[in-house]
Amino acid sequence: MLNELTHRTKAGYRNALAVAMILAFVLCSMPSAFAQVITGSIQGTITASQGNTKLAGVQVTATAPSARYTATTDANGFFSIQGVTPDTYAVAFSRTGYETFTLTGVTVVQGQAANVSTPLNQSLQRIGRTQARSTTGAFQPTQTTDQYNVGTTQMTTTLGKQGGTSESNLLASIPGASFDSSGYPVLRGGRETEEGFQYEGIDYTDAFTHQFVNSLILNGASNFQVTPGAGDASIGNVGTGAINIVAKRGTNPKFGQFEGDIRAGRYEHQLRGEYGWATPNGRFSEYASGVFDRNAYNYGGSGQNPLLIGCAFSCRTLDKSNEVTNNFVYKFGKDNNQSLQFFYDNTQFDLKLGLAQGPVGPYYATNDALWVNTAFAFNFVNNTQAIQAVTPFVYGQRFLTDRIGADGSDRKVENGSQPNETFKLQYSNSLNATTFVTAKFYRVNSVVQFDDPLRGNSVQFDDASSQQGGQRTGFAIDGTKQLGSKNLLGFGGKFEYLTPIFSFPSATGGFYAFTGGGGGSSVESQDFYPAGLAGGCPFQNPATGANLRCGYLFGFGFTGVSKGCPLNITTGANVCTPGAAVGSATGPLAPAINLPYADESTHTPRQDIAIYLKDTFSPTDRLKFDVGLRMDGVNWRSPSCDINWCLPTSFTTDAAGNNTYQFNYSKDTRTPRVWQPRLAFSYQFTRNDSIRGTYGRSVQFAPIAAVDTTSPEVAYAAFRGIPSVDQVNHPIAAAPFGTAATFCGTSVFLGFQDQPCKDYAQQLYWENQQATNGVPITPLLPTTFNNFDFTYSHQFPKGVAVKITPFYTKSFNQVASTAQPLVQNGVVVTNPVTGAPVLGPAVQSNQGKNQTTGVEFFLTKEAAYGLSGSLSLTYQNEFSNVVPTSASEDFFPSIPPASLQLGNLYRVGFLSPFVGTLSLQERTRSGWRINPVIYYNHGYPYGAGLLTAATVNGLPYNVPNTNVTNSSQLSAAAGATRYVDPRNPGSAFAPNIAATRGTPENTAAGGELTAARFYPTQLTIEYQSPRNPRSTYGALIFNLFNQLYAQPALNTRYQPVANGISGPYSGYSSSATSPVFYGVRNFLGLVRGNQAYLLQPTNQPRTVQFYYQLNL
Amino acid sequence: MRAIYKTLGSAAGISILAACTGGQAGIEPPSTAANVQGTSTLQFRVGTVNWRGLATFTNTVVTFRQPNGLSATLYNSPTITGPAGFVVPTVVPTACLGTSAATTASGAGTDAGTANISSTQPTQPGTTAVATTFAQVGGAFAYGFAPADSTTGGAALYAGNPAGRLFATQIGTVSDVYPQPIYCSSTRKLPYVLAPPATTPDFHNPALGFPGGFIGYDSGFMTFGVAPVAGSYALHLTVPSATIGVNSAVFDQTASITTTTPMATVAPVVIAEPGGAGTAVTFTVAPAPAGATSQVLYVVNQSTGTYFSFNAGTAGGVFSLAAANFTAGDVIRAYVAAANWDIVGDGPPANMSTAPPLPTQTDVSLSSLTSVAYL
Repeated sequence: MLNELTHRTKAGYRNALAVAMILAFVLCSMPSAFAQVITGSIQGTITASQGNTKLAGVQVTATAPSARYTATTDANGFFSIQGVTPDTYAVAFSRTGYETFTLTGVTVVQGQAANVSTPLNQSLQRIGRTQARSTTGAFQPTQTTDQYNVGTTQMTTTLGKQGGTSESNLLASIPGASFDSSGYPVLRGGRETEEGFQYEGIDYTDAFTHQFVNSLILNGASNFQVTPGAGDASIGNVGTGAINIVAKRGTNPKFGQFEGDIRAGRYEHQLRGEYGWATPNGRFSEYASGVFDRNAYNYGGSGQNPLLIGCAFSCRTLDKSNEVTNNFVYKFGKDNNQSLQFFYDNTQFDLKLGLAQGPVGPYYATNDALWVNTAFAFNFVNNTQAIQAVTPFVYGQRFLTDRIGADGSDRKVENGSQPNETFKLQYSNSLNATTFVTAKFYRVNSVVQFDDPLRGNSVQFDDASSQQGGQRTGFAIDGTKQLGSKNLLGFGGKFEYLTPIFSFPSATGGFYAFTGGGGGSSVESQDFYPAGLAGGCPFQNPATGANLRCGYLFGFGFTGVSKGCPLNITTGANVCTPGAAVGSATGPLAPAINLPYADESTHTPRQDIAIYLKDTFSPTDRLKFDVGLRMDGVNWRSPSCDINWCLPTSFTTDAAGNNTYQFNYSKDTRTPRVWQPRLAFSYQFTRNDSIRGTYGRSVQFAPIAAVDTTSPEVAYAAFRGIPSVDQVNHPIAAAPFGTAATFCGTSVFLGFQDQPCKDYAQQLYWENQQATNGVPITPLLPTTFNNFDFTYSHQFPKGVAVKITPFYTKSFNQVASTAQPLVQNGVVVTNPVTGAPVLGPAVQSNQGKNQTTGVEFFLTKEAAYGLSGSLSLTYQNEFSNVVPTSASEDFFPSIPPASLQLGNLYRVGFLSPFVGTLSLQERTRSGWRINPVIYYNHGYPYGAGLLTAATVNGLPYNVPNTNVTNSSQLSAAAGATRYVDPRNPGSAFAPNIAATRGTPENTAAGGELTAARFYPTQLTIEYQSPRNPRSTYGALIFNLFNQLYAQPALNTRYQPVANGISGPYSGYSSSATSPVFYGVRNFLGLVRGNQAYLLQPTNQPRTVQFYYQLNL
Repeated sequence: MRAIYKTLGSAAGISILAACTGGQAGIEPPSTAANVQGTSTLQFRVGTVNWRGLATFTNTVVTFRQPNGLSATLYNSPTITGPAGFVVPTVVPTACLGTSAATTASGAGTDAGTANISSTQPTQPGTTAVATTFAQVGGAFAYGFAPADSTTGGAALYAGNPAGRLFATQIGTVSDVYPQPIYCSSTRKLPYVLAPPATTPDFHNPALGFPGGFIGYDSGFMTFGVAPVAGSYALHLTVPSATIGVNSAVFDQTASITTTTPMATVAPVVIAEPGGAGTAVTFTVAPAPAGATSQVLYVVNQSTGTYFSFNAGTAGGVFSLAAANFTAGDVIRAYVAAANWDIVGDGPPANMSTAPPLPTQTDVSLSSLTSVAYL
């Protein structure tokens, strides 16, 4: 691309190449950088109206409340101002002998040049013909990339009022964006993690999952910019699009607003305020804004009736959010050409999800004992006291008889918390009239915490308490250089260091892991009991009844701890009897060593780097080209890839039967570098018509969450040096401690146990890996996207404009979980009987792919008074090889091996194919404002499909989807809606279907659409007296049509009787023997309902928010 | 002001549109229901059982089918009421008590001592269900009663499904099949499962894609360890709805036993390896007793859980299974049922008519069990 540039012109491009080389050198010798730019520019060519001659020496002054800039036209009448803070400017042109002309309403947005070319007239009566054009309208004839800008006025219209905080709703109102089926905004069908999200030029996503970090609370934004597709070269690591929000700045004159809100229909109140000021000379400016919201409600969840107990498990009961933003700027130097900015943002979002873990909740050991009794088949003598002896306290438990959720415990409810803190220190310098550079240092701290005390009745992680997120620390340089009047050069780079946080410790999970659960291959828990355990060692030799291995660890200096009295597992009562023998049925628990916690965590930091170079070439005022090249890369800081870290992709076996493993470990996975060309043009071929087009390659690196959720071995450091023991194959070996276990290493995930454990710490580490963490894998290849779009736009009289943009995006190497064939000695391993390939474990891979075709439509009408608004429509037809049967398909995609082998493509299930938003505002001069915002989606795909990919006799087929196909024997996807005759089932190829759910089904999963929705439509009625404009009164109705139900979910407890006739247990668990839990038997079964599909009131009900705004 | 009205008017119009397009719980997704009452056909017959020449019990045959021949419903609750003198035993009948010396409850629950062989209506999960003969799992299906009332567990219930209900005490590992006669000691019960080569295709071939663990089809008859009584027997069958206590369909049929004299005893099967150890296995079936119109040889490789059956005909004969079906040490068991209707021909997959032909009284004679070890 650079070669191409050098051949096209002259000095400008040669300079560009020189700058690129210098930049490359600089970036290679220091931490490189990236960021999306947050300033724009103003440029134009001034001519004399008579004779059309270009005027040199014209003084240009751009003034806005937040900033002031000056420039002088050159010999060609051209001027350019770089590094302009986004705002709406009045640009004045003056030259001796000419009428001074001021063009008002020039809006500058980040990353774009506002062109204000205008003629000056020598006659006094002449007024400039040039009109400023809003950057938010649909007609943007000089815009090369597909981009939508939403200023504060449009935010008010879309969100119903000034200071609206729903970033989701705002985003969903923009063409190309839509809500996914979970309610999160996505761009052009990308997944939640495949969109760039910047705030003040900072990558505003967490280091672990690449999800947005502020819970989508909008606060203090001056401009909201969405770039579907690749955008220009300054935009990186974005996948299918990027969002860039710029914060407000302090101004002179100062401004401020205070707002109080209460909501009817549920308990909620909100306080919001903002204040901005600047010194008259503009040297100091300060802006602060805060939103404080509290609301309590109870809707959604797993039950139809929110009063039923099942709802309490996942129904929100309380949200609390505090959001503050501060933006301080100090300008200095000649004409304030330099500035220092300190930006700070802090969000604290808390939610509580119900009271399921109330004071009647059981203590931890109850579940463990039940689980061991019913599900664990090892030679385990049911000894609840012994279980209690070795299982560590769960988080929050203070003593053995302490029930989680009881008085004094703060773990009564399931809750979540999302603290997020961001700051940026930025230096900017307008080096001269044509050059502007910024350098910034920033950090994003974001952690999502969940606490689910004793959730569920499974022993594994039923005391889950987790946190995930991390820290993003970065340094970035961006700059622009005007080269002549036709070339605007942009360059920049970034370096970021990602420190992920992920921790998922579990006391009961430890019991699960080290007692052979979850596919683990050993039973360490026996080693944690004392040898002389009164009442006997709980592990016995099945043949002889002799005790096994109790006391092993006590020989290495460990000492036991007695926790107190045992408990009755049924009643929870303390059954300790004074004077009874330690460890006896009624005596204190025998001293034992606590099992370690099971843990999922991460220890893979990452470095992200990027450089870019672009040039905007404007041969005429009507024609513009944008040519750029960008490189994004990462350096995975994971351990070296060997049998102790990565999953082998193949192996060789020698004559002696020894295996040697190979790994997919290369520069492409460890330190990938992806070069991405970005090409765009715009051409205004009449005063009211323009076209533009873009091709851009973009990249999205796999989130760390997809690569590493393993625990570091240091978690078991206390056990280092102790010999490993094989409790399964050599359970009663004599000193010196028997044979080492051989499941240490990733080969165990392929079915081999050929890696001996170095010591007991490593043994625990791998046991934990197998039981809870899964498989360590090689870092993944980056996902790349080819994005094409083309726009035709037209402006009509009276401020009406339209824009239509067809687009196409295709991705490669998308991240998805799947199982792949084993390769031995270069040949795929096959089943000797069936000839079918033998698959390895399901792990994250680059096997995903998708393609999206769509059309964006945008209609705007701008007017200060009267009717204004916008209509946004998006049609998108997206196909993926991920089977759309999971509600979290766009966040945890997985591909059944059979489907992958068949190459099946499905319409994605998380996306509505057609969405639209109509935002209208009728503003009267008498002070009234009526503002409906109508959201529409054409329904979301659902259904399990009439056909499904299944493995029959080891080979993949697309077969009729029935409850037999769905059975584990055939490894098909879950969720069939047809049922075979239980006495004459037929075959997988020709099943005898005796009953169905009676609901429509299409050939493939996701082939049906739910009914259309007008959610979350809202209506605002607001009044501001012209005589007292300081006060505004308003009422905002949320969910105007009270549409409570979102996506139907397959009722997995539907009981078929005949076609469309459900059975008596539909929605219920028919098991009469399931344990009493939280005082209610089959607690979840009570709330499932008896429909084929479950419809749950997951949307907020209709509410009215009354607000008062005081303009300061 | 006019503009405000226009705007509000538009919003109102959209509101109406939203109402018309629904979007609420009741209509999404739309569901259609079959007319079970109008389209399903229930047949019921009773007769006698000559059980191994040791006792005369009661036999039943039921078919409950859709027009396409498949089972009418996946859940129903049948109740058989016998004539005066018909009494469900409280303890296992002596003739089929087996080696147990102690008196053993028949398993009839509240049916014991009554004239009813009943099932338990659906109850609220978590509440204790009344114990009956069929309990809550037994229903009438395309060909016979079976413990196959579908559950909410998600697993498909078919004969032999490993994930289904397990009757581990029976021969092999039999699930979702009633071993017979009901009320007898578990060590005396046998499953009567139709399998290849009597049925086609050969579902033992994994390439055909039959469900994992599928062992075969029902034989249509269900025998009870109750002495038959001449007279009229009534079958009352309810199809439940999603609401407990409310039925979506109810069916009633009657059948009669006119004579309680059973068919003659069937001779036991003779099992041999005429080619020597490791060769094909032969099964010799004697001619059927008088009155029989069909005779089926049932073979089970108990060690592998593989079922076979032969349509032996009234003439009987020698039937053979290839050596590939066995390995040394496998336990092979074989037994015969002779009946006065076409056991194989009336059942699926051979017969998919709505109401296969059945005689007025269905009598059957069951042989004793022959068991050998494969050499």
